[in-house]
Amino acid sequence: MTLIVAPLDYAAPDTLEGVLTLLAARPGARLLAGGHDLVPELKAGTVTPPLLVDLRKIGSLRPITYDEKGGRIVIGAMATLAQILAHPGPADPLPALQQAAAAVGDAQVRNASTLGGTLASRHPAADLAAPVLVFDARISVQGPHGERTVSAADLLSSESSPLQPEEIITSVEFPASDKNTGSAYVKQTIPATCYPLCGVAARVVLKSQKVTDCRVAATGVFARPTRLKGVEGAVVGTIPSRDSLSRASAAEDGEPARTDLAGSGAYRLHLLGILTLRALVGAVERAGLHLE
Amino acid sequence: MSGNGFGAPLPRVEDPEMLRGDAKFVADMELPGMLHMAILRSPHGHALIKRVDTAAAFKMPGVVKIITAADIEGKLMPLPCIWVPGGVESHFPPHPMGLPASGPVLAGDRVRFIGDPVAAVVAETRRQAMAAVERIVVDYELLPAVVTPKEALADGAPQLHKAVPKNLNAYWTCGDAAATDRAIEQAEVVVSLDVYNQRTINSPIETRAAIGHYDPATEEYTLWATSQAPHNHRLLLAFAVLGVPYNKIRLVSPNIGGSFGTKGYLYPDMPLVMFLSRELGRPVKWVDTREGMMRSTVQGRDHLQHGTLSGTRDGTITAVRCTSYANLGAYPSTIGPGVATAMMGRSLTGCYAIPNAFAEVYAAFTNTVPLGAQRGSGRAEATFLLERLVDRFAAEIGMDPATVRRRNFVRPEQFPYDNGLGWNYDSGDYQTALDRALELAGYAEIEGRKAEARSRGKRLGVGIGCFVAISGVGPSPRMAKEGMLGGTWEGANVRLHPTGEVTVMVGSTPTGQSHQTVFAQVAAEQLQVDATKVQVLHSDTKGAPYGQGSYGSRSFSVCGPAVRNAAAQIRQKVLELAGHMLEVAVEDLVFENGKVWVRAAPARSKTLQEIAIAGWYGWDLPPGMEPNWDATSFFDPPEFNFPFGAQVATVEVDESTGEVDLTSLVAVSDVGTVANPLVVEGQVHGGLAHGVGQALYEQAVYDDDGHLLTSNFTEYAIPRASWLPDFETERTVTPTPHNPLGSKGAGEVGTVGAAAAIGNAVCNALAELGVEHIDMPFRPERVWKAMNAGSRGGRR
Repeated sequence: MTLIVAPLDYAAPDTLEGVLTLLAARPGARLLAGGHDLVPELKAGTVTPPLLVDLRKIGSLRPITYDEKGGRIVIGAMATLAQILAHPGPADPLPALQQAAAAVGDAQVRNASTLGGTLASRHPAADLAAPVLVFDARISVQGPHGERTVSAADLLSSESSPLQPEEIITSVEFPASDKNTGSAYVKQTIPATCYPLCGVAARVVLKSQKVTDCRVAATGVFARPTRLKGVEGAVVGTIPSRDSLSRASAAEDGEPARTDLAGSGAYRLHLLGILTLRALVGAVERAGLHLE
Repeated sequence: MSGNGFGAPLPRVEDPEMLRGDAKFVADMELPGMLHMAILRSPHGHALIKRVDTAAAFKMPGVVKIITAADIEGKLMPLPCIWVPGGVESHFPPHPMGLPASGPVLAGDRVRFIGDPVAAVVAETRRQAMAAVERIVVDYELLPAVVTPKEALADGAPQLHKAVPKNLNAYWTCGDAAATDRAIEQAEVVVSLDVYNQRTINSPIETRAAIGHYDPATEEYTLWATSQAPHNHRLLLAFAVLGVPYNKIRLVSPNIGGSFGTKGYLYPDMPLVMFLSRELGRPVKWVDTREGMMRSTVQGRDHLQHGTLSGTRDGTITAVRCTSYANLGAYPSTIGPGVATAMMGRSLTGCYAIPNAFAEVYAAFTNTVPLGAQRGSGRAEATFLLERLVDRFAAEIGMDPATVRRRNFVRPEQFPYDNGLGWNYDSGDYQTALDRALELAGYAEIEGRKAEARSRGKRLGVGIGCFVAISGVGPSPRMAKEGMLGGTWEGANVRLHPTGEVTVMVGSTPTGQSHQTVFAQVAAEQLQVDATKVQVLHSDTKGAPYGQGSYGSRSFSVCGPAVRNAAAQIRQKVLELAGHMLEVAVEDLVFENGKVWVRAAPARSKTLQEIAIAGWYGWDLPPGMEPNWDATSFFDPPEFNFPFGAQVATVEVDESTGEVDLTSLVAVSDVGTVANPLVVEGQVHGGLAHGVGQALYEQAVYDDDGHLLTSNFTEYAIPRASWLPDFETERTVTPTPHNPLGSKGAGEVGTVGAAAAIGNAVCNALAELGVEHIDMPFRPERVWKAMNAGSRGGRR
């Protein structure tokens, strides 16, 4: 391990077109969108791209736009986690996204790390992957053949990335939430990296106290961030109580969990049950139902 | 005096430069024509080197030279070890000067740990040198490795050193084994514990670095290095590594970004840059990486202990005993074997008057990074074991742990107190410190708080860590008996300038201890000047008076008296010359605020500046007085000093996840007389953070082949400032009689008690679940497993 980045070319174009041109012209080029994942890999020598294309000058990728009437929020791919944390509304999905953003690294990391960069690098324990999955966000992608959208599940939960090397994420759209929707993110932090040993996001929609929609996603636990369909199915249709949510939180019988220096699979699975319950309780309370 | 002398909370004069980012470190230095070195380190824990092929690497851009062990044969000796386990048979790799050896400068036929240096590349840039290192091809023949001392001592274990049978550096003991065993046998109550005090990795913000520069005209070497013991390292490099005269080496330590023990050791890179600069005729620079540091710089702790404590049903401790296996790593580091034996074993009785005590240490070599000191070394390991045993004893007899402690403290009237293991305690008031710490922690209301926490799904626990932390190494004759191959005194030089300002030069080197602030305050007090006008120079062997290094919390209590005594000589001379000028006896003079006046006639006065210039001119001196102002003093303390304190930790353990939340940490410390309370406060805070780190986060992990799995901050966790509670600190003041300042060491007091207090708090929180002991670090998964397994569930 050299720990010094190997020589490479660097460009910081002003326009999205400029980026696409460079990506097409230099196979193997990598996008720099914060660098939280990429820079350590460059230093370790595990990736050696000929060219780094820095997206920091593309102003159009920065804004967070909130359509107050429709309730839709669109976050530019280069919006930093600090920007997300500073945004005033809406009541959903922002609080859960902000909980996840606040749990990432430290202030310096949050000032550099971007939502688009986080999603594109597909780290198996990215905090933001969990809320993006439960909001079923639509990810806009620009490539040489135009624009398309990818679902959060396709981008984050699939074994390999659906993105082509010459494509770039431009924004992430969170659909408007119904009233009585609540969401929350909780995690246990790995002290060395601040990644989650287990992170869980939950989102519930209540109608007359009954759960009409529930989505739960975990990050850091399995090979990929993933929705917990078993838990979701056990919650939908119920009038939630601590007991019912506790039973539902144990309903996931999934694949084996990751085991590494930071924690065993057995402990991760144990945490998954505990943190799922805490995320569900948080979501239900944000949706307006107080649990005894 | 402007009120900023001895005892005043003068803000650190070092801070502005550091906070502005202006401070220069070795890595910031550029010399004309400078080359850069990179080191190829072994990727294996234990292997034979069959062949090293440097041909491809040498063709890489910018490469100037590549050397292996063959190139330094007969030119550079192995590094020496200068602290052997005292008073017992010990075995070391051989050194041509008849000293015990540490490791080779470059490994020749065999590598013994994953940081062993195999080759050094010199290139025009650091990147080129590092790139070329990657192209060196080494054929290794893997050997079986051994990474724990117990396994290393077993029959049939892989052997590391020909001269060290069974990998045993030494079997070392202190105390009375027979009496202790008898007391334990006859005791009403006996408790015992197996404790693994885990290996930790020192993580100062600055890695190590060195620049060597050889001047062929004078045949002098200059070494700029991150050395916390420049005079000592100069001596060892001269006679035991390079074989050149002492006066041909100059060692300079610029600003050092933390050390915590690591930078007091001699490392291969230091002679390498010197040797290569002479070979190449250009300065050679080496700056380590974080991973390199974790793989090659001494690591801390690593004692596997079995402890037994006995007592009466009414709470009197009658005996304590410890058997420990210390993991020395692949080679004895410069002072590692002494740290692993005496500093732990002799500290076993802590704050208590225990009539029977015995400690034995098996110090063994393994295929891991060499062991050295980490802040609180030895004392922290002994304190953790003892304080856990005291809590176990209290639980066994159903007594409040605070009451048991009060019943057994060495009482103020018992000092000086011989602890039966070789330490002679100077002074102390242990109960006052504990009572105050308990009060600050709200110990009396703890049952109610436990119940409230349970309602939130938390188990609240409170733990006490009382400690004595021997400091101020030390009386040189005593340290010689302890196996130290060197003196342990300090030196200082004080000059009064003709313009009335003062310069102090000290032999000790700061790595964050605030030498420039506190030594100025010591001199300011004697010479009645503004402390901010006193210049303090240090860490350049060309000019600085000799000293032995800043380690073991010794700088202030050993070098401080030298500063005081040198300044006092100047003070006396100032008074004598003033008396001559004012035509009165010295006894009739008052010296205050930069002025000397006649007590009976204050208008008759001379300013310090007037006196200083008169001494400089030397036109009219009293008979026998030499002109000018320059005094040097050396101080070798008659005894060690023994700072102490009590810490109380409060934790909440999450019942579902095992997460430990350290909600409060109270520390009442006593470091004797204090020159600057702000500086001591900072040292205590830093020390506490280190203790919290070991208790909650840190552990070096090796696999069975000797690979370090935690060789970067992505795997090795240290606490972040935001994770620490607001420490509550207070001090009591019990001066030491062993130096004229009354001061004791302050650098390590925070660390020594903290892990013990936190460990006791965690075990207290989980006592109702049947948990008797959990080993550090108290990571959630480990705690959760222990909670579910109940008694003894937390064993490694």
